[in-house]
Parts: sequence; structure tokens; C-alpha cells
Amino acid sequence: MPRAILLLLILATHSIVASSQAEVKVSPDRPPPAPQFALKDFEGRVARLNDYKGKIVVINFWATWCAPCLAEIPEFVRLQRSYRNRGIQVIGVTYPPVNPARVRRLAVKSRINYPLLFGNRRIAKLYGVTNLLPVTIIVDRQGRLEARIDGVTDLQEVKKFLQ
Amino acid sequence: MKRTKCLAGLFAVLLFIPTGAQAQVKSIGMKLGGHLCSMCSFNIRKAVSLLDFGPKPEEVKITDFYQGLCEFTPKAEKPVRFADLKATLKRAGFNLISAEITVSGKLSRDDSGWRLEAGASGQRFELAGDGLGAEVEKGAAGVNFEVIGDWQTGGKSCEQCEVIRVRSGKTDARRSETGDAPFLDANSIGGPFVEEDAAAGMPPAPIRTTTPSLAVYKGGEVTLRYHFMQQHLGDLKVDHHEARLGFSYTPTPKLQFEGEVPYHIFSQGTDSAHNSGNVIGWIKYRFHNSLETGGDRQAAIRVGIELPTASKNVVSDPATNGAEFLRRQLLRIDGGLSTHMDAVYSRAKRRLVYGANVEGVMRSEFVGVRMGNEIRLNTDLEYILLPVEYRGPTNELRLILETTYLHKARGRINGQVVPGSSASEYYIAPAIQFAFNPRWVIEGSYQLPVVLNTGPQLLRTDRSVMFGIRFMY
Repeated sequence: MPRAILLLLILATHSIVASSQAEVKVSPDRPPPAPQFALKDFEGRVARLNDYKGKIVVINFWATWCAPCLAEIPEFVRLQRSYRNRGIQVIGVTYPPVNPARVRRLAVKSRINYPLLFGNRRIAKLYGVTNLLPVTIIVDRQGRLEARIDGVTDLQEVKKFLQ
Repeated sequence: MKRTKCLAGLFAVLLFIPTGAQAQVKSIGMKLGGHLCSMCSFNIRKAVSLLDFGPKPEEVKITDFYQGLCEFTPKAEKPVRFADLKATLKRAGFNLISAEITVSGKLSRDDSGWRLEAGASGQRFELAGDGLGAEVEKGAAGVNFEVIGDWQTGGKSCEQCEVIRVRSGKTDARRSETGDAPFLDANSIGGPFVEEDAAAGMPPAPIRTTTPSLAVYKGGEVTLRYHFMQQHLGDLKVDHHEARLGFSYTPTPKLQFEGEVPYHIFSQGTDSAHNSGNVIGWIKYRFHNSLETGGDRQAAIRVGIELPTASKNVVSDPATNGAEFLRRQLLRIDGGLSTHMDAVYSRAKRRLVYGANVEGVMRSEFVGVRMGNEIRLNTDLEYILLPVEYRGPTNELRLILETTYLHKARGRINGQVVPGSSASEYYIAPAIQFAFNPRWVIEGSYQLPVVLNTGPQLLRTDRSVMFGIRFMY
């Protein structure tokens, strides 16, 4: 009987560890591949991570009600403008889901010059975006997770990973 | 070996010898404006820690998330600068409304006025303010002094000076004797900043969203509640369905405006009817609010007016309809213009929230009939079950137990008292509330009567179920 309980405990622990491994952790030694996604923008077009193969992709998870997220948007606009020709692509992913009209208004107001996609729970979980916003993920040219920046960021902090 | 022990002992003694270098900026309290999202604390900590004088992120305490109060102790050896703090927070999306600084240092005076020199960083603060006289003037130049005041960059003598508008100051007597330990804590001066329970690491009290609600949420909320109630009187069995649309607006932390519009449907066997009810408007004044470790206490009074907006076409004159008193109960039209008075107290302590309110309603007649005046005593006990690691009202589950004691005086028809129309009732209502995020909350409760000492002219309530959804803007 005690063995059975021990076995159950081991199984339970294993399942917890397995579920936590579903989230992406950036390892400095061997970065894992970035989870693929296919998300819609506010015009209904589907964008995939694969569409940007060969580029450094800066994925910014944000929400319209998150003040720090809004504060860093101009930095990403600048980044996209300055680095577009150097094979760098910024993508904004709104999560949790919000009103598309509101995102569109904000995109116009902030002159956002990069794609804004609507995130979902699955993608957020895959990229480990659960309890914090904004989160910025940098995917290298090989499609591997290069870095993760938790919280509000600026151009200087992002640039460190774009060399 | 012996020599090693001696050296270690000497080193330990040296560590505790008081030095003038301990004079320093002891704490900086910040009041941030704007809407703080549930995920803001990380960003605030990160932004502050990026400053030269900023401590590690985990050393920035968010003392009251909903009022945007934070506190930290800067690095002792680095000079602090209000303008830099404001700018770095602005870059992170936060508006620094004001900052309170506590500095311990050496008092001096020059041509332009009093100065305080924080020994560790060598930074000199300009002291200003109307309250400067009594306290600072008492302290002679050269003595150790501690001041608490509003902090800003730019003073009389230079634009780059750091200025403290002194609110409170004292000679650091204990420092002179022992050279350690602050003698004045933030609570004792009645300022807005309090210490977080760092050991427990608990976040500040969560937002209150249930009755007796004292939620101070800049902006307001819109609430839609559906009530289903079963009543009976003898063999007469009635089902009530009522929708209540509520809204509130909180322009300042002390003032709140509230309103409620009811719509009611009742069915009795195959018969049914529907009608609008009386619109109620309230003004709430929150006269007491004290923050404490891991929570807060609040008290408010509320005055409301119930307007006679109920559908007139569904009622009839009691002179021609003997059963009109009962009909009004079926229609849930209790009277005409009425006054509501309400006193509320609540306390939040970590995961536990409790409170009570006493409410009185004085009614007037509506087309010849009114129900009795009422006194209610409500209590509310809440426990925040989820999330396990509390970061704010996101995926927050509360278990709630509400009780209500209701005393209803006798009603009147055309000014005449209706015998058997008074009641003393006691109800208990387990409830549940789930906040998806700081904006959306759903709630439900099931109310059961415990004591029904109800007059023979009144409908007796068997059960009542409520579902609600609220949006905070």
C-alpha cells in the first residue's frame, strides 16, 4: 500500500514537472526553438512565425489596459523603423484578447508600424506569458529563442540581443 | 587560532560602531497616478531598480496597489534625484504624483536657508515649507536631524537642488546615543505610506467588490444583477425575477456616486406582470481610510434618495382595490420618494475581508400605499481562496458569507397603519465571487431565511438567488 502511494506521488510530481516544461524556458547553452504560431491580425489576416524565417523576430506581448505596455510601444516603433532593413521584425501580440476596434484605434494613434496579432491562451502559455505583462521574446534568425525580457523595456535593453 | 578569533571579534565590533556615515535617505514613498494594472508591480520594481540609487527590484515595496503607493530605501552611497525617479517611472508608463522622503543627516544653514546633509552620499537637501519653522528651527546647526517631507527637484537656490518640503522633523536623539535605528516610523506621522509586511511578503489588501462595498477604484463600475426570489403567503406562491442595473463613479478617493435602476417581473401560476421599479441614487462619503500591514480599514456613510419612478400604470388606488397592499408587494413597489441612510465599515487583512453596514430606509406613499420603514444590519465575511500566489485581482476567487437582519415597520394605506404588516427577519447567504481580471467580476449568492417573524399581511421569502456581473472602468 505505501508503495502504491509512493508511485502515485512520483506520477503526480512527474505530471507537474511535465506540464511546467510545456512553457518555454530560454537556456543560454542551447536555446530551444521558438513555438510556432498562426495568429490573426485585426484585419483577419493570419500571420505565422514561419513567415519571418531568417529574420530576428521581436515578439512583444502586451495589452491595451497595461500602462507599461503602452509606454514601451514608441520604443518598438522606433526599433522597427531603424532596424527594418537589417532583418529585424517586431510583432505585437495582444494578450489577453481585447476588442479589435480598440487595438486598431491604438495602432493608429501610436503609429504602430509592425503587425499586431491577437494572442490566445495557448500561445501565451507556450511562451510562458502567464502572470506578467509586458513580455518581450527575441527569436534569432534560426528560429530559436534568443532572449526573454520580463516587464517594461527600452531600445537599449532590446538592442543588446540584436547583434 | 586565538588570533583569528580576536580579529573576527574586532571586526564584529567595528561593524557595529556608530558612524556619521549612517546618515542617509531612509525611505522614499511614492504615490503613482493612473490606473495600475494587476501586473504593474513587477514593472514598477524594475523601473525603480534601474536608477543609480534604486535598490534591487525585490526591495521596492508596493504598499497599496490600488492607491498606487510604493516605498523603497535607496542605496545609501548614491545621491537621489526626484526628477530622475519621475522620468524613469514615466518611461515605464507610470505617473509619479508625489514622493515622500525620509532623510536623516546633519543640519546646517547658509544664506539661502536650512540644509540637511545625508552623510553616506554627501548629498545636501534644501529644506523648505511652511512647517519648517517650529521643528527645524529647534534643531541647531550641526546636530543630527531627521525630516519627513514632500520631495521634489528644483529649489530656491538652484534648479537642480533636491528640495524637501518638511512635514515633520526631529532631532535624532537616539542616533546621537546609539548611532542606529530610526526613531520615527511612517505610521506615527499619519502619512499615507505604510510598511508592507516584508517577512510575510503579502501583497496589499485586494480590492473590495462586494457589499458592503467600499471599493475605491478611480473611475467606477457598471453592475448587472439578476435576482430570483420565491415568496409565499398562505397558499399563494410567487416567483420574482428582478434585474438591477447599477453604476457608480468615484471622482476622488473620498467621494462616490452610485445609482441603481431596477426592472421587475413576477409570476404567480399562469399570471405574470412586469414593471419598472424606483430608481435610487446615492452619495457615499468615505470618511476613514487607514492602511495597515497587509490590509486596510475603511468606513463610509451613504445617503440615498429613492425616486418614485416605478410604473404607475400597474398600480391602482387602494380605496377601490382592497388587495392593493398585497399587489404592491407582488410588484415590489415599496413606496414613493424614500430616503436611505447607510453606515459602512470594512477591514481587509491579507486574505480575509470583513465588514458590516447598517441601513435605514424611510418611505413615503406611492398612490396611497407604502411598505414600512426598514432597518437592515448586514455583515460580510470574505476569504480569498485563489490565486494561491496573490498578485492582484486576476483569477481571484472569493468565498463569501453574508448575513442580513431586517426589521420592517408596519406599512400604511392612505395614511392608516396596516396591522400585521411588520416583520423581523434574519437571512444567511453563502456567496461566491470570481474576478477574471481587475475589470470583470462575476458573482452569485443563495440566500436562505433563518428566522422569519413575518406579519400575516406580508409575503414570506423562501429563497433568493442572485447572479451578477460587473465591469469596472
